[in-house]
Amino acid sequence: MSALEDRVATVLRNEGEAIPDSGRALHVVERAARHGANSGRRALRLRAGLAAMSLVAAGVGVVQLVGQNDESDVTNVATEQGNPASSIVATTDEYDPDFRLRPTWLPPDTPKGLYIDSTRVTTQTPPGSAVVWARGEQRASLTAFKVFGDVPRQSLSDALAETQARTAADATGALLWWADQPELEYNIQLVAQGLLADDLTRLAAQVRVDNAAQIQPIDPPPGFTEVYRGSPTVLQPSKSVNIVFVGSAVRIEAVRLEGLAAEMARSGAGYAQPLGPSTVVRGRSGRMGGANTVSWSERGWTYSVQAEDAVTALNVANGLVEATDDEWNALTTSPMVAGQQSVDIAPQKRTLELFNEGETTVSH
Amino acid sequence: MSTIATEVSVGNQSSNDSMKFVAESFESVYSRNWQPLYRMATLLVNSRAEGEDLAQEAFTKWYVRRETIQNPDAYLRTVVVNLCKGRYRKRATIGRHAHLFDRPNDAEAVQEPLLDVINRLPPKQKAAVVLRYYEGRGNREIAAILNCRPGTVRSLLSRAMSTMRTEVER
Repeated sequence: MSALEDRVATVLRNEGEAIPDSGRALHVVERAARHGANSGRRALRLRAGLAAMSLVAAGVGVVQLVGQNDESDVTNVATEQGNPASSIVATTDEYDPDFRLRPTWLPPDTPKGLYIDSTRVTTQTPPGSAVVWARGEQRASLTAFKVFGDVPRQSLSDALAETQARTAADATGALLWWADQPELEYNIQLVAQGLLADDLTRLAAQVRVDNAAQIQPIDPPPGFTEVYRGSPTVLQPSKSVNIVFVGSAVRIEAVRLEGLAAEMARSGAGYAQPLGPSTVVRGRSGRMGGANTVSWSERGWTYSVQAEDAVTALNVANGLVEATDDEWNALTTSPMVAGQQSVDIAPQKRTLELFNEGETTVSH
Repeated sequence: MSTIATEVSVGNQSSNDSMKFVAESFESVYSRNWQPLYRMATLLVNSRAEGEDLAQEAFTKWYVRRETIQNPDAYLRTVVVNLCKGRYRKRATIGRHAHLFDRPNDAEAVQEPLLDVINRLPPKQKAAVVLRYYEGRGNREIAAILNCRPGTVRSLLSRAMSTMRTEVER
């Protein structure tokens, strides 16, 4: 071994020895594994994320999303226990009945929507945090927001109620703002539902996203009252498009489709048409688990935010993320794909092209 | 205590013709692998928090497939290294948007210049370096983990050493 190699070995050994033991206990890791924490509760968290951003939009203050890294959500509770500097709070879901830091559950019959939790979730909830539940079709998830400054809880409640009211009134649209894809997990994942133009502007300003001002209203297509489009330059050139639908025609359809973006560019329409016939497939897909709801039309993919694992599937399908072998196998063997009439799978590209030839529903 | 541990078994023995293995208890695999994997991941990504997350993700992957994995230790190590490589790709994005989340960067100030150089190596080179000089693994083993040929490992290490030599002598 050369002197340099010796030195490298010494440096790495010293560095390794200097790393303190991980405090992540067996039961934490085990529980996360059992519940597939890594496959995420993404969609619900996104929904909870929109609550956070709504709070920002409502001028409540600067909100820090915590636990946005999905694999951290469950484990950070224990990991950060005893660390007063931490702002990480649990995100879990009601399918985890024995979660040891179980928060106050939403009653099973709670309607879909966003709820601020009036109680502290755990002793780890940092002071000044707002705890927001997102109740989905089948699950509930919570996230916690650290709010800087002395913001009365009532203000948070009011802001959330406002958002909730908009959502409930179905004057909805959605912004799925995939900033800087394909890095899904760490991106600014903002799903804002029911945000209006002013909110969006304020939101953009608040979160200080570069070039956020390039999100501009465009002529709405029939059925839409307002449509916004973000310049692809905000994201990765030619790979992204941001669209906000505000209207009644589409409850929530997040569009992040290269194909659709290309179609839009070709047609010069500047907007996406209402979806028309689409296929909704629900199923379980291996490790991705959970109820998926994926919709697509001839124009491309869309998906419902309540479908948590559809996020994974969608991104794999669109080539936004490279599937691992496990993900790929799960995806290609899942009822979601297997039930289709026409499926063109291009393994070499790790992308899927699914062609809808009529209504197909696969239940699993 | 571990509920999964109740599924215990003898581990690493083929239980039937379908190549399913009786999974070793979670507790056993954890106790043997958790800290080493966490440390290796931390070295690779230069972040304790991420190191823990990645190590945990490896355990989750193993758990899902535990009945088909004969050698959990090797599987976990390979998964961690691959996850770390993947995490590198996200670094640029994280960096660009870190200010939005005000997340603490626990990549502590590097005191040792050589470590700084190591941390700036391309992901695969760094992985090879850590596996060789921290874990003490041979070329064939590293090749298996990195899913490449032993010759490629030699090349990766050679290039890494060349870079380090140049940087250190600068």
